[in-house]
Amino acid sequence: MLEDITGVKASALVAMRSQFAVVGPVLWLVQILSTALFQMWFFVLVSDFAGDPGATPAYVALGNAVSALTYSAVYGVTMSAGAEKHIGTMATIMGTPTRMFYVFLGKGAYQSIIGMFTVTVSLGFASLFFGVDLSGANLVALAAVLLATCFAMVGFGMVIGSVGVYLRSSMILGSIVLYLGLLLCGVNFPISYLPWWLQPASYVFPLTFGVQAVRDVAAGAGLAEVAPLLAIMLSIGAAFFLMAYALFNYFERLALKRGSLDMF
Amino acid sequence: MIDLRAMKASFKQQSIHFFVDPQWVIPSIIAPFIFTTVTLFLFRHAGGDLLLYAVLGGGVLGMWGNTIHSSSWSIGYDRMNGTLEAIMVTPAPLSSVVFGRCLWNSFLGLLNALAVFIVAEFAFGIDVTVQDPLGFVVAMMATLLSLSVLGMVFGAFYVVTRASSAFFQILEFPIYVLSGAVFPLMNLPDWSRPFSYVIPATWGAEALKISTVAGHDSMGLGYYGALGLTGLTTVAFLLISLWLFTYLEGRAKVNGTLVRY
Repeated sequence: MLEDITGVKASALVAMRSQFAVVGPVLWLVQILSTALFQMWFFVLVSDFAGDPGATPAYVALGNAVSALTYSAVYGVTMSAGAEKHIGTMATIMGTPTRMFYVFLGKGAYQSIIGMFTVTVSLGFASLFFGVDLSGANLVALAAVLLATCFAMVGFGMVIGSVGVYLRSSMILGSIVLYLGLLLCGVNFPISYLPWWLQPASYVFPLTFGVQAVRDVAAGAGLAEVAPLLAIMLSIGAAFFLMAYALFNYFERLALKRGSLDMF
Repeated sequence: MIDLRAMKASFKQQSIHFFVDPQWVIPSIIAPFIFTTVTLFLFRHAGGDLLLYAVLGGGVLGMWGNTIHSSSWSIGYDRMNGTLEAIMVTPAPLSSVVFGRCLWNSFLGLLNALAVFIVAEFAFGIDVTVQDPLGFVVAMMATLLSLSVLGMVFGAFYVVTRASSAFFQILEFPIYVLSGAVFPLMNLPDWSRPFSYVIPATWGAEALKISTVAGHDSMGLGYYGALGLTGLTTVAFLLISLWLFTYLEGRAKVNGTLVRY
């Protein structure tokens, strides 16, 4: 148990150091801020031009601010397995006494911190530039909702990322989950706009519940009002982590058995 | 200058890479495809020409997504795979090699445009009828070329940096916004418009819209005016990129940081 905790901590530290070894802190900050701002701005301009009363610029800006979590919490985690494979370090990781799940849990923990930072900055952008009114928001409820969303999304990312242990690359999966949320999760328009057969897919993504909860909090809801959504996110988050644990073990065994570890 | 033989060979090799491992193109077409589909949902109440506007803009986004992806990763992958030194000691200029790759990837961006057209036609029931087919094809080719050249300008910087993945993310979305591909430039604030005016894709998208949407001429330039500005800005960026490649290639060789990773 202690060994696993040490593995998680070490993995989180390595994730942080390796990130800044390739992309310096200033460039990394520019990357995070410009991506969040320009993506939000793009959809705000589109919604302004479209003039749909059901998807106003402020509605779109708030949705995009929350979806900024996806870059780190889902994409970052999903890509980590594929990245290890790509740079040839997967075999080394699998040779350590720490199980792969804990190694990637550490990476997920680091991505959670980045994700929380990104979403906070994005909410600041939405409020400063795009008319999102957060003055009536209960900050404790907002923090709780964002933490629960991040937890569930990292779990989701680990499930997807576990497949990257076995696949040739996790890049396709990572890219799909990165952007699909913009379409399916009520980020840019209400889910009811989607065709009826596509709507159930929205509820597979934790982002759907997170976006709704943040909208409720921004509209003045307190912790009690968003408790059901929080409970859903924590439950599906826990389920995702359990699933990721099982999948990492399964794919770890399968990759070793078939010798597909470094297949690229 | 551009070595056409090297460019052709690079174009061919990039296409072979694609057919061997087509998955790499997917990440670069997903973002513009999803962005356009979201736009179509937001425009669904508007109908008519606005939807067509989104479809055309989506095609431009697709080409740009592919171009910036290829220009940023082409040097990055060479650096990671250890082939950058080999490419740089060949007599062919690196700019021609990168240009060939960018052209192929912009060309693949047309697949995205095609996917958007299919979704628009069948899922959203949009009548994608082109008013001036010849003008549309010419404008599409000019836009493709202009985006490839813009990709080359950014690609030159990747010779001296290993953070190409960061630059890819930083540069992808601003062009989506500043080119005004899916909304009129007039919707952008005054201070940002000069940036839009120097991007060839802005004029390429305008020429595409004029050739497709009846009565569209938001800038008052007409088809040939927009096409002319696409050509002018493309030539300007081509000259800048050639100078940058020469300068930065030399700098990378002097610093000895070419394959540092």
